[in-house]
Amino acid sequence: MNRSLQTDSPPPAGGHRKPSLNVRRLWTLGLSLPVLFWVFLILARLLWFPQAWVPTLDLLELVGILVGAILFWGWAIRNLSRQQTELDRRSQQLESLHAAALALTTELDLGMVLQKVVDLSRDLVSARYSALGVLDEEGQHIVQFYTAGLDPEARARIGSPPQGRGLLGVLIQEGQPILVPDIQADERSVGFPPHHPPMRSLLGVPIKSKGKVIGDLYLTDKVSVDASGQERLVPFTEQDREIVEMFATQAAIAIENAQLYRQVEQLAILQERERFGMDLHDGVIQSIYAVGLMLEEIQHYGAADPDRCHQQLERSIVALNDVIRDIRNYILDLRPQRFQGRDLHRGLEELVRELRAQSFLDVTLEMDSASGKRLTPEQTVELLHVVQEALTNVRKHAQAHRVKVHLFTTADRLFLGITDDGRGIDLEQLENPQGNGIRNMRERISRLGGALEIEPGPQGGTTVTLSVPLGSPGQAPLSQAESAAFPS
Amino acid sequence: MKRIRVVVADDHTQLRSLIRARLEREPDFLVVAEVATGEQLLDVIPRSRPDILLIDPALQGGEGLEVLGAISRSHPQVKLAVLTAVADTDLRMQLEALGVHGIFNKGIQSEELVKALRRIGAHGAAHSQQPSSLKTEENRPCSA
Repeated sequence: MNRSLQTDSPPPAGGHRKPSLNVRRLWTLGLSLPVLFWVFLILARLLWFPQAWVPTLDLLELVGILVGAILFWGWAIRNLSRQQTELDRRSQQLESLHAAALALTTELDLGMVLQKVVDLSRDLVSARYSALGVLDEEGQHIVQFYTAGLDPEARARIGSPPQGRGLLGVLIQEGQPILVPDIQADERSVGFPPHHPPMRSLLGVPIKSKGKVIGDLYLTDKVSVDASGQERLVPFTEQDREIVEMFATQAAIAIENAQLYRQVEQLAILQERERFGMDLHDGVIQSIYAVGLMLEEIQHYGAADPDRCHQQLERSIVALNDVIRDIRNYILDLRPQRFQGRDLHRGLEELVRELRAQSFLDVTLEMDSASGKRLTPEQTVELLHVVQEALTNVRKHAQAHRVKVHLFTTADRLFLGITDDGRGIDLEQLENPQGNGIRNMRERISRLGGALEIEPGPQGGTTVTLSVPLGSPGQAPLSQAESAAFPS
Repeated sequence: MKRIRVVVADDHTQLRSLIRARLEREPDFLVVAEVATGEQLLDVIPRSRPDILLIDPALQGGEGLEVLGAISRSHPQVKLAVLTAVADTDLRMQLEALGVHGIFNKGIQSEELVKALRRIGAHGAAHSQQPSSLKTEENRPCSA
């Protein structure tokens, strides 16, 4: 949408016709009417006072009338033309303003909005240079400075942006537009820094949002191109000020819009972070509370049940180490492990959700209902770690489109299959795994007394199959009451 | 002896078993069911006829709170006790508005929890204990 907005050329008015002043018709009308009137007077006099006809006198009358008419119409037409030209220019400017405002609405990125504001404002009033100084929260100092009309080398030669002294500062302090025909002649000016191109006229307009000045727009060196194509510097006019003020309102809206958009994005990130934070704190508290209860058990059973105490002590140590790891990951800004206390189904659902969020993979999850309940918490955690590792491998290395996670159980064994349609795994790499990933997986699975198989899939890709033996239903960690309540 | 029937609702499996085990070491408590989700809870309450529901409202991302509301309406005879990792002012206000009989922080001394649950089970602590005063019941976790 980059129409060149030159106020000196007639706009390609889409459809509507410019009302134009037909000067020739006006002259014809203006001169013929008095002459006709004179003829009428002569005829009338001839009719009623034939003897009073003096030809010379009448000729003198005619001359008088014509001179008067010419003078009057000359003045009137000149006035009308001038007003017409002014109206035309106004209408062109408003069209330009409209186009500029529209162009602004296409931008959501704050930086690009600001750059567009300087670019468009320059064309609006035919200024050679334009600049936008973005102010800080207190509205006192310039924190960003956008320019148009200076090429990058020129800008680099000038060096650091202005601090807002001199005439720039006047605008900041007073918050009112300023029109300066000759910068150097103005006593408030502090001059230009070295390598700064000389500038003569200045138009400065504040950009206000919600009653507060958020930035200032500066335009310098208005240029007028005369009939022969010569450029000359002219001062800015009141109309220019009006136009730029109107544009500043549009700019304020666009800037605010971009800022809100950015805030919404940042809020989403913060909310996500907060959720992680909450998860961490919740999880850590739960884990440590659980350790406390385990220690209570040890206290309670004491010497009477040393095996149980031993088991609980081990679990406590593991739980505390997991908490340490969670906190460490949090400090390192990583997602904490959330497998503690989750059952298999929930854990798998979470892993699948995460994978969908982190990649463009099409992930499906199939689970049969009973499977998770017959695992101990430790088995569940280990399995979920292995699945996470496997899914990470798919995400990072497989170059796949689809992944399927399938959980099912037989009478005494639980199976988890992770199948992808990627480029397949290098069998040699399998034999001598370079990374720790596959080795870790195998270690975890063997700790559970289970098996891990990695094979090429039916149509390319890879299938990873985990299997662990299940305890008999009687050893389930659930109470009998619950099993009765939830026939699985 | 009539034992106080308790349903424990918490989606942290390990913690739930430990809480249950702790309560079952008291002769006057009987844990009739433990559940991990709001749905399971709504299912279990009518069947197990508990005296007290001990619940973490953070069940499955917060549905515990909704379910609490539903149960307080449909089974007003069940006393509601909340055991939670973190309860900010908003949550406390919501819980008090629902009419819960006790709010306990995870990390409370188990002895205190058991005593409080006993009081709630005996005559519904809605009158004898304002939930906000229970803020003082968070103590150091179990020490020797």
